[in-house]
Amino acid sequence: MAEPLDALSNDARMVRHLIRGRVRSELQYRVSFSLFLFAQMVVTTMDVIAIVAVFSKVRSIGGWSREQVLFLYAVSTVGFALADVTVSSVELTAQWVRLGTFDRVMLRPAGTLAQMLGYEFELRRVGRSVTPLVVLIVTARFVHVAWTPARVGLVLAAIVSSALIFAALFVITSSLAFWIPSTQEVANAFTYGSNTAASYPTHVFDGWLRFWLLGPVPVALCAYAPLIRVLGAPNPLGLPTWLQLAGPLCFVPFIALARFVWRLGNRHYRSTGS
Amino acid sequence: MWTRLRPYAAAARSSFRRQSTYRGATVAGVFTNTVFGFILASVLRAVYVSRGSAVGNLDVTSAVTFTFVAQGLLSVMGAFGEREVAERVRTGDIATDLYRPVSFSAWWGSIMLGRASFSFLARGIPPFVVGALVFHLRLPDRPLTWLTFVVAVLLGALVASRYWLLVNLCAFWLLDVRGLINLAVVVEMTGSGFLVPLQFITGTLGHLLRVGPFATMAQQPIEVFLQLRSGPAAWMPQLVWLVALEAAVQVVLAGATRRVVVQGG
Amino acid sequence: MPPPIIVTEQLGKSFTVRTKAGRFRRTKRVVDAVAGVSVSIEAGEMVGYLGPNGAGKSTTIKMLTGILTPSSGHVEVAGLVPMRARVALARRIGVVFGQRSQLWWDLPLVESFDLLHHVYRTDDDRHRHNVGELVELLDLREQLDVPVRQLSLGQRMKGELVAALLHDPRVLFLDEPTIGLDVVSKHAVREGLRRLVDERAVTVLLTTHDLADVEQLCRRVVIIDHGRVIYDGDLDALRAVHGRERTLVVDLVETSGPLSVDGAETVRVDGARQWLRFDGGVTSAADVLAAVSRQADVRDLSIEETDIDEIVRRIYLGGA
Repeated sequence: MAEPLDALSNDARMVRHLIRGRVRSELQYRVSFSLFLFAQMVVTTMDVIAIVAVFSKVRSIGGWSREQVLFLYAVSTVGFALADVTVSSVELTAQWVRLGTFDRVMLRPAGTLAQMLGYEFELRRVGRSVTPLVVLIVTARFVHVAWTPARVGLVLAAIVSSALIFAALFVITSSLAFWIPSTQEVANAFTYGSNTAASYPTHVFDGWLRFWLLGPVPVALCAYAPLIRVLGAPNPLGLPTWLQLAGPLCFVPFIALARFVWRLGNRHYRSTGS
Repeated sequence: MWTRLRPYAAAARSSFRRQSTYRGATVAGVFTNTVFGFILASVLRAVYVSRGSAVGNLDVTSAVTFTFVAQGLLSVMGAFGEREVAERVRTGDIATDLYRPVSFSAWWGSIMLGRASFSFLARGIPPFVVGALVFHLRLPDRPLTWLTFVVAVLLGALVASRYWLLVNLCAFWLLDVRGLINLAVVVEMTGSGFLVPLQFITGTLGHLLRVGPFATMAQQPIEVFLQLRSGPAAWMPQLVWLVALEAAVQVVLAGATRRVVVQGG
Repeated sequence: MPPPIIVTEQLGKSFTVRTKAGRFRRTKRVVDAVAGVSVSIEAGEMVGYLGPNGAGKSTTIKMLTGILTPSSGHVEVAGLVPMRARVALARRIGVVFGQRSQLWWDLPLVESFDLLHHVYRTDDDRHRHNVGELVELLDLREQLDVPVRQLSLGQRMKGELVAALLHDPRVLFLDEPTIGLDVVSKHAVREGLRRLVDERAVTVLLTTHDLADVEQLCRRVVIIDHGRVIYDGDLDALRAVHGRERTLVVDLVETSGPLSVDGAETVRVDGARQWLRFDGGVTSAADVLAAVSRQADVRDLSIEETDIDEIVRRIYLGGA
């Protein structure tokens, strides 16, 4: 068996080159690229409109102010946008498995996941990050927080952690395609649904949803938990301090799960064919 | 007279049947709508807890009910974007549509209506039922309301089909109509009350939206369902906008047909 | 002597097929797509792998290339076990699927080659040399800047061949490379393949159900039917025994009783059309046609060659 670290660095180098090639050809079509960016910016404002509209009738939701909720939305959604740009091409797996195109991936000397990330990389998806980034920067001034390096670090950790959880979620939902034919809409319910839910304080939800956000898909631990500490926001669920600080680390087991499910899916594909 | 309607009825029927074959997609869609219904209803409930009073004529039960009915109507009103006509313009297939001996506008209206009917039954009802099991939803207590609601949905679907036809017809003038369709989705979602009930949108904007064409697609039928709207107010605005948008479609269509002739098909 | 570059021992693959039996029940049935295939191919050979549709050809290829894991048996390609060393094996083999493209649809052909350069991490100089040489050999210079989706099927196939050889694989697997192509393109692709094989030392396994593909390129053929090898040997020998038969199909101006022609046997009559079978090694089609024309007026004609289904049938009937 080849040395795993060697394989990883090989894959990384390949992905880098593939992405560079894809971006170069993407940027050749400037107009189409810009239009798409703009369209994505427009579409993502809907979430902000919803939050602002709702807050025009109340001062707080679950004790959280408008600025605090917008900040939470921004942290989680910037993370989601990062995951979307880097990983969402893995969603093509469903179509490729169905058409047998995935054979092509099996026949090349690189990890299958790395290939899926590189082959159809689209830089223009970065348009999704513009609106939440703007909201993040603007709201940062209005949440009445003294921005110490520690706090900024925690926010960055929250963003990165959210991105990794969503990336893992993209991979897991795409892996399902190895067993069940085309489940794109269901996958969307999980990925986009989790993002929407993560934009609001978790204690607003109860029962299944709350459990889901804290356990199976711990997006709440990525952003909601640390932001309680950073923003000094209400903590009705009583999340302990250590959880607020270490919450962003929740991506570790989730990434491992994603890798496991993907490999399992690959093994299934190779045993049953297309 | 009925014989003249036959091609449209056939178009609607085949469109209905075609939608029904996408069983996997329908189930997945129901799942998505239910999940988002839960998320949005929870948020609204928290809002009401914080507010302690109704928002306009919408109390918490009405607001939660609103969410689930809205989720059911999303695909009925084509809120995710209709692209079929624009695609046909791009490939040139639209020429055959324009030269058919039937009204282009009525033809596509029938197709969209067939799709909408299926969506209403298959994707509209289940999320509401699931929502009713978990949340406290308000059902109409007057039998007539059910009928008026269905009529309102029908009229709203017709208005929505005119809207999407207008947007798609822009493909005759724009090279890439995808961006426009994205914009159209945002405008419809926001203006029709799909994003948040229009009671939540304040000021001049809220006022404009409430009397605009988009409100006829979701806000008004849902208010009928909640028995907040009855009598002429239940169908008059929709009829007015239907006539207005149909007129716009005819004007644009004339321009488009001329363009096709000029370009040689 | 170096070991064979492809070795399989009792290779087998079974699938469980779930079918609906009645309204609600589903029965499971085990299908042996490949059963006990044992083949040994030396480096540098060009072998044709033939069989009727559904015989198990593609399944075998998938097991040899690592896409599919075998249910039973042993397989080794280029010194590696495909199931265990997918990545290492991928570097040593090249694969062309006739029905599926390995190129990037929207990009110009040359950019697909560039991307593959990064996927295979070949040496820059080697890559440039290979692109130049292969493009020249297959006459693709004009097509380099054309998006793959705009290429004709024949040009695309040639592009696939180049793509499959860019990284200097030791074994080239071709799965139905001429399927769907018109006669001219088929010829061009076969020609290109011929030139490639002459220039480079690469083992080729060509899977097809079109005999003509194999005729021009392979000396040895392996025939598979219902998952089992029914012939493994020289193509000429096979031809000599089973495959020289040809059929002249004539449409006569007037219906007539079965024609009696020297050197040919009238096997079927349907109205004005008659099928005359003859041994291609003994009699020429022209002679048969001349003999027919002496007896009746011919309005139209065509010639049928023995196809693989017929050869398989004969192997079953007569033994190989």
